[in-house]
Amino acid sequence: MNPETPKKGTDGGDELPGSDGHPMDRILRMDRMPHIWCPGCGLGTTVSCFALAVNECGIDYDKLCVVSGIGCTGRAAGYLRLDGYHTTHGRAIPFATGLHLANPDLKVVVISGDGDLSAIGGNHLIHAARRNLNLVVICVNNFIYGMTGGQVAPTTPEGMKATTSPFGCLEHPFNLPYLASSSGATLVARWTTLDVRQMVNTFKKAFMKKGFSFIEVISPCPELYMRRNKLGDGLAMMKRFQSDRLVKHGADPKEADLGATGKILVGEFVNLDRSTYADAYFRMVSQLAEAKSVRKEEAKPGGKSPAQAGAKAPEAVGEPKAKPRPAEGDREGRGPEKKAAGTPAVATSPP
Amino acid sequence: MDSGYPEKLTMQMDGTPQAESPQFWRKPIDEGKAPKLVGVVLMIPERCKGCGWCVEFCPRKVLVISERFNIKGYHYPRVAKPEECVDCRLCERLCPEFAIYLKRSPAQGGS
Ligand SMILES: Cc1ncc(C[n+]2csc(CCOP(=O)(O)OP(=O)(O)O)c2C)c(N)n1
Ligand code: SF4
Ligand code: SF4
Ligand code: SF4
Repeated sequence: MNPETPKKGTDGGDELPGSDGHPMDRILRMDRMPHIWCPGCGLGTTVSCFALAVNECGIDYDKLCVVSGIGCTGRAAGYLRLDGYHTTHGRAIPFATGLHLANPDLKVVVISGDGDLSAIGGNHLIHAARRNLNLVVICVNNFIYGMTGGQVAPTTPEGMKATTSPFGCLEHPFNLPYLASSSGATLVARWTTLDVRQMVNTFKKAFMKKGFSFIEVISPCPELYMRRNKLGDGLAMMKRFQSDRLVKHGADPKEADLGATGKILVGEFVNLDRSTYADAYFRMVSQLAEAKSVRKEEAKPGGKSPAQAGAKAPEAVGEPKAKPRPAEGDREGRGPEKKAAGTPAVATSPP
Repeated sequence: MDSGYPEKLTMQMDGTPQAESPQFWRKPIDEGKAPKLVGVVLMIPERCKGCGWCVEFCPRKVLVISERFNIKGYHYPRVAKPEECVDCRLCERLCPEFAIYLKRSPAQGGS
């Protein structure tokens, strides 16, 4: 490792014999590299932290799915060697909702931009949080619409310039952690792209969390947001993070307003437990199946008492021909299969 | 609102120890007893886009921007003080291009 004797055209830091490449290469689609992100953009760092969190918490790659919307951030799903889906603009959460409810033992992660999640997809975000869907939403906030050339976003700080606000943005930006927590999210955190260690820890926590997790990652966009506002390069924003951020775990998200300058409150703001939508849904499905089987047993000549019939619920609901409405019968027909496979009706435990 | 945390915790940033902020440093109680980790920095120079984050935020100032440039035309970092690296892996996590990574020194059981 003598810097004076570079090997293979590198200055003192080449692959050593026995080295097996970058540890992140396992989980990235290296055939798609180099990625499209500009020099000094924080999106690579966010994906790097995500990949590290996945590797460190040992979650099965087959039990993890990444869904992205459109935007620079939306490219993340395509760069990860995991099952993923690149949805239309703003619709990452609806797609993830279906994916999660149809496959309750998958961990579904949404990685998308602030514009995608809080502008066109804003309604989906608040309702997913309200329903407490078992999703992880990683929202990369770069204060602007990156991919389309720097239009104003719902997160652009007041007074900052964008192509669609050449004299400065007139609007008050969203405080995303406050929006998520007041809508009902059970894990709410914010980190900057400099807080790599904390980001990895929060991602790991979110993978294990049962409920809606919202993690905002503040990231520099040197090409569009920073250049137009004469804020320097990505390194300048990272230095601002270093001097301006204030770690305050458990802080009231209401205080987490972001301005163009001033303190950046970061930390894990909210971490609570609340019944999830999937819990309630599968509880209802099994209750309905049980009630139906009780009615059937009673109707049979010499039928059993309701208590006995109740215990036999799984077999009793599996008679599709007797159902008046095929759609409903179809849906209920899944009940016994689940039970037969040894999965409880409330099959929502995340990996 | 109820945050689910027992009490509020307030602290200044501690993740990136800086030479300029000595007030956050204290003498470790196991100093001298615990082995000092030594890392070996590995670079994949063709991937680097020269953002300079690894150089700026390395707590031991192991890296410097090299005079050379890679195939894309960016000046990539060079390991100036290999013996100073403590294997903290901050550079590995920070690098947006997956261009820099660490191995534990062979003397400490690294491969
Ligand atoms: C329905 C629809 N409307 C608009 C667009 C154009 N569009 C593509 S990306 C984007 C904004 C992305 O911004 P953000 O989510 O903040 O991601 P970033 O690029 O900043 O990471 C827009 C408006 C689109 N692709 N589809
Ligand atoms: S436009 Fe902005 S957000 Fe998009 S890759 Fe470039 S720096 Fe990153
Ligand atoms: S591992 Fe830590 S000490 Fe070593 S080069 Fe990277 S940032 Fe510097
Ligand atoms: S962080 Fe990565 S891309 Fe940036 S200068 Fe260092 S090696 Fe190059």
